[in-house]
Amino acid sequence: MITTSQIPSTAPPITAEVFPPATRFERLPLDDGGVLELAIMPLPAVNAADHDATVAELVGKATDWASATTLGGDPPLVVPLYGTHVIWSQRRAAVIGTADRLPAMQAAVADFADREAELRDIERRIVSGLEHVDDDAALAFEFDEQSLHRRRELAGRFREAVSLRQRLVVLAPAIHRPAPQPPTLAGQLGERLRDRTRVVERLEHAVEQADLLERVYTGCGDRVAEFVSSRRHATLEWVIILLLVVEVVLLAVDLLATHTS
Amino acid sequence: MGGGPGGLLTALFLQRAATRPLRTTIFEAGDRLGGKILTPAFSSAPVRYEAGAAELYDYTPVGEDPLRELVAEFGLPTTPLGGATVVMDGAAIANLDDLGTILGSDARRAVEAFDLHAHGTMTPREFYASDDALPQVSGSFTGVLDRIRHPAARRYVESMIHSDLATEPDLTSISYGLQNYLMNHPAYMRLYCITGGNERLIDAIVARVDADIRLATRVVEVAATPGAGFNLVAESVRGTAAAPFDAVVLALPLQHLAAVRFRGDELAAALRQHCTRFDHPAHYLRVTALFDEPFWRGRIDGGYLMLDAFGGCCLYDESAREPEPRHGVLGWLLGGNAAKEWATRDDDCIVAAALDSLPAWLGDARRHLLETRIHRWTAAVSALPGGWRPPSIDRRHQPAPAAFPLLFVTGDYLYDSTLNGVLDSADHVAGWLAAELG
Repeated sequence: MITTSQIPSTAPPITAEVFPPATRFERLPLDDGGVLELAIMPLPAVNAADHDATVAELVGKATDWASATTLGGDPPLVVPLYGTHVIWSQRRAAVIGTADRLPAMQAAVADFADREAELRDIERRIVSGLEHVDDDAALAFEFDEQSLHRRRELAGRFREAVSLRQRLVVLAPAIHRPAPQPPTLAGQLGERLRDRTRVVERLEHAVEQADLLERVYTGCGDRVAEFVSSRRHATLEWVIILLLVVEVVLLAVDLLATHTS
Repeated sequence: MGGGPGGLLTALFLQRAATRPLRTTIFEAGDRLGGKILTPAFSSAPVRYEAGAAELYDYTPVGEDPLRELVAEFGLPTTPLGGATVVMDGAAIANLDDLGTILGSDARRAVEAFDLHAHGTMTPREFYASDDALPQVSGSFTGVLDRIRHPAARRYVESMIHSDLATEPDLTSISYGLQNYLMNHPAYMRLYCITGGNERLIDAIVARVDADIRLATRVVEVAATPGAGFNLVAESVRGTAAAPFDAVVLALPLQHLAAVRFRGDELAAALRQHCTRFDHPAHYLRVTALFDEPFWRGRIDGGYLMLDAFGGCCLYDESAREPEPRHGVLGWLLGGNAAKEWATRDDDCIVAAALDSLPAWLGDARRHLLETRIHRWTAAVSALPGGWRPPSIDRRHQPAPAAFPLLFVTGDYLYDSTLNGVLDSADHVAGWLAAELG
């Protein structure tokens, strides 16, 4: 855990005037190698009349703070649930609630962040893989001598496609896992974050795209294997022909020598 | 006989199953079709609300769901419904964390133990199949609730399920009580409604049914004729008329069925026995209020919550069914004895009690109130009492199979008092009737 004074240098300065003094910050290492900065903001004790305004103010501040890392992309999501609020962006998140709710909220965000980061990393790799599909798809139909030097490159992409499929297979049960029943706050928040970030739909798309990559590079592998095999056969046939020619020549020489002697 | 979902669905399925052209007539005593599926509008604003069946059940997590398929076939958009909050003594309990904080850790443990017992008693597959195998276990649901020793935990569970039961725990079976508890678990089923009003389903069926529909025409007498057919006597503003039919499907609520005169001792006795066998009335009362704005915005999550008022009632945020509602609509669903008792009181008294039942943190309802509507559904559904041995599915639909093989009965009360149940019932009758008529 780090305190307000230990905020990472990448974050804009946060002072006591910006966040309530009781706010804690944590850095959660994610599966994709990145870090999620999490602000844990206990709701201060205020009278009922001021409650809504206080919550709105905290949500506003947390949203501004989280926006700093979105780089002009989608604004942070604000997820209200049963008197608590989660402000979510890919690198920064904040949880706002009464002190007794914060551990459950923190656990929900940490759990969700791991899965979301893993999915995001897979999506990024798929996008990068899809860039080559246009060029490589032709080789899944026909492979020739000029393409032979790309064998290792295609094998690498096939391995990457299989690796992506394997990661998706591991990730899918965690994403589809139903929330516990009877419901807990952590389960409800996890489910809400999953819905709002459309993780299930993204997973489905990722599976389809990874499937396309796998099919293209499986096809490429088949064509490469066929080409190499047929080339080996051709070479063998030429060797046999050459041997036969040599044999014929030797026979002819032998016959000629016998005849002339 | 009957222009509710039972009659309309039977006509639709019969039309699809028949191998030769049929002439179908639907008699409806009221001036509208749809029965308990009713989505009227307020008079002070063009805002619709559900006055009858508020939600449909989605069984697709477990198995086939013919109602979901029908809704999809009609191209009707749907909105999922959900809600985990129970309001007790003004405090919102939305999850186990709240339960532990507000009612204490003992109450939380008691609810967790009850939940474990409920899941152990009925699996999702058994829950799914329970429509076909109505409760056989002796004893009432009270016996199961008695397992919860913690009073607050018991009140929490009772408040959660009371309005769905539409009866009291001692008047219903263990299976039906557990069903109404487990329906809150997404692995067992999910809830949804039709976007724009559940009555759109009725409109879609009516648009496809090829039948002579006679509104405001009440069948008062059914008599068997010597040629194995039936003679129906119907009353309307035009007078009384009799007409012969080859087959009759009685798709009426039980109390209306009992009011029809059946000629002939054997026919009358068969129908009397049928009515007596299924006479386990359960009750609903719907109170719906229109507000100038959804003043509770952000405070009700998922479309509804449960209140501990009226022995446990459901409060629907009907505005949540629309993306950007200008007005706010709250609907109270009372069930069981509370519904029966409050149905006898005048509307103002009911509205005052309903508004008083709202927790203070929701906001000042009276300041925003524009209009209210009351719909009384006394004895509209069946309670399925404990230990009751229901007849076989065939026998349920044919009161006198040997003497009157072309007289059928259909209705939600033959199953679990849901729209899904009435669809199963209509499908059963239509298939059978189509086979009988060749």
